[in-house]
Amino acid sequence: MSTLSAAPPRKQGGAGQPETATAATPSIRTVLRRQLALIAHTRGRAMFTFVLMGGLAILLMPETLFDAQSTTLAAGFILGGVWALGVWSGEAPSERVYHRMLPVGRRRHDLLRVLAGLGWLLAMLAVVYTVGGTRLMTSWHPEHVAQAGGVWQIVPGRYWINLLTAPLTTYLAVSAFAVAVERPGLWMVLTLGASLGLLRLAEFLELGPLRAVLHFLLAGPHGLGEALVGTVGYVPIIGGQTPPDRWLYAALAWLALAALGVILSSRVYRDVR
Amino acid sequence: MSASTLAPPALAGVLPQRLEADAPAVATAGLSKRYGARTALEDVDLTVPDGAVYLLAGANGAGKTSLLRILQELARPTAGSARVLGIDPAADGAAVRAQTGYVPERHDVPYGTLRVGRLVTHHAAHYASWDAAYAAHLMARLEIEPEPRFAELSKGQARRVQLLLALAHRPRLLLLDEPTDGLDPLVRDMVLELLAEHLADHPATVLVSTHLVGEVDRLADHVGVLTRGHLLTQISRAELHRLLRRYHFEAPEDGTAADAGALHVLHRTNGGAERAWTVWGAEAEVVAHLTAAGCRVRQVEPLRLEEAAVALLRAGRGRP
Repeated sequence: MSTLSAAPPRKQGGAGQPETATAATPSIRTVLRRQLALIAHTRGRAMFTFVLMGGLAILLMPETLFDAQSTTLAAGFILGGVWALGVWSGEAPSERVYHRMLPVGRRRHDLLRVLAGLGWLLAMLAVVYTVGGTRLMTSWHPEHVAQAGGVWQIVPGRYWINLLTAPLTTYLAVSAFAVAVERPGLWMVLTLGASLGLLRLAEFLELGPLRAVLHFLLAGPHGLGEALVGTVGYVPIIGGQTPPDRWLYAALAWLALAALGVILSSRVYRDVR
Repeated sequence: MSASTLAPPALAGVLPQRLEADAPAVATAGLSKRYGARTALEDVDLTVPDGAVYLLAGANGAGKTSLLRILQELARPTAGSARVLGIDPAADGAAVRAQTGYVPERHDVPYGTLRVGRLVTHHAAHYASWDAAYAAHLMARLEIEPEPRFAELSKGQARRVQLLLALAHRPRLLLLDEPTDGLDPLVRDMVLELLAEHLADHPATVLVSTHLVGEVDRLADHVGVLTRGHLLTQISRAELHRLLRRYHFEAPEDGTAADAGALHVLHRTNGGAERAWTVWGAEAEVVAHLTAAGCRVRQVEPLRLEEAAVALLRAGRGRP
């Protein structure tokens, strides 16, 4: 008469079995390696395109490397920002089911993803700058290079470092949004727009203190603009002047600020849907 | 013939809401979850005994998925607390997830371009207890190919990959959210058979959420019924089998029926003198009551798990 059949017999005491899972979680090194591999496997095409476009840009406009402030600034924004969005593509905070179901602390996992993305960004920039940039610089100014004994002699390391700070700062700043908010690109644009809008408004209404603060942050001697552009345009080989040291402080400060932004944003908790 | 479902006011006090377990695999206390104005869970005290296969039944939107997400730290409760394998997920979600195999409600993985084999490799690296040989066995049994990219998989194929990822590290706890959703009947049957084999070989506690109760009929030994975010009841299958039955009887010739108010009737079907009532209570007491009211009890039958769950869900809704 009964159709309520008994469950099949099976062993009891799941928690006490030695062969079952342990609470051991993967090491930071393991997670970082996996994040690096994951990005390579899932964003490989984007990385290839990134390197290709970067190389082509330098091929067509070699002066963008050291000479054109606005172009470099734009390139830094685009490269760093787009890459930060790409690293989290399809994984808005509320969509990170797979990422979050792995046995890694949520904050640690997010930060290691950002770090892995940063590693690949550095690698891609290194490829573009060293392979593309130095070769083209050599061909563009062969007499200078020959005279100095190599491209590294005429373009000191600090100038190369500055070429990294713009995309890295932008990458970290956009990552701070990508880690915590659903539409990071929109939030980034809104934040920038609001800052510039406020600056214009402060100038228009002659709001001295506000204008001073915003000007200091955006266009002051240690402002964001200085940090991103830095030594660009000052490279001696192209006829520039020796840059003031302040760019280095500005670059480091803004880089640290962007990194702090990432750390703080990783504290934001969002439920997945 | 007419049918109706009754929700006696006293039913909430009659249905057991607490399970006793010395060291439960999962225990929640006063767990609540709200999304804005919407309440997904309200004051849920869930107890999943260690080693149990606990079926969490409920209609769509009853709060099952929210509950499982909280247990994995994918969502945080608005109030109350949870302990999974003795650990608070909000405090150390990673340790919970290291010992848990989770099949989420959603089928998709954001890495559509990733080949299945690479996803398995990626997943495996995160678990100290990953059993590569068992993973290979599961891939063969589930007919999973490593070459296709995840975006190329059908819903059912993606589900099979998720099951592989959940089982191959032999977790102490399995949290399965609609595990057979998207599977065709043949594969569904194979997956359930595989689950039974897995549990026989690698004992684990299972909390399986589904609105298709019949599918896990052969696995479950405990049942919880979630309705509109409230845990209506939780009970061992043996107790459910004993206490919830359908009574076929003939009403007295004068047309009067037994006093339903004195019984905990969850559902009644009336067809002339023939009646079939689903009643909560000890069989002897119910039969005695019906007999005393002049009814002739012809048959008493236990309910299938699915029927029992549906009866309880209807009662929980209080829908006539």
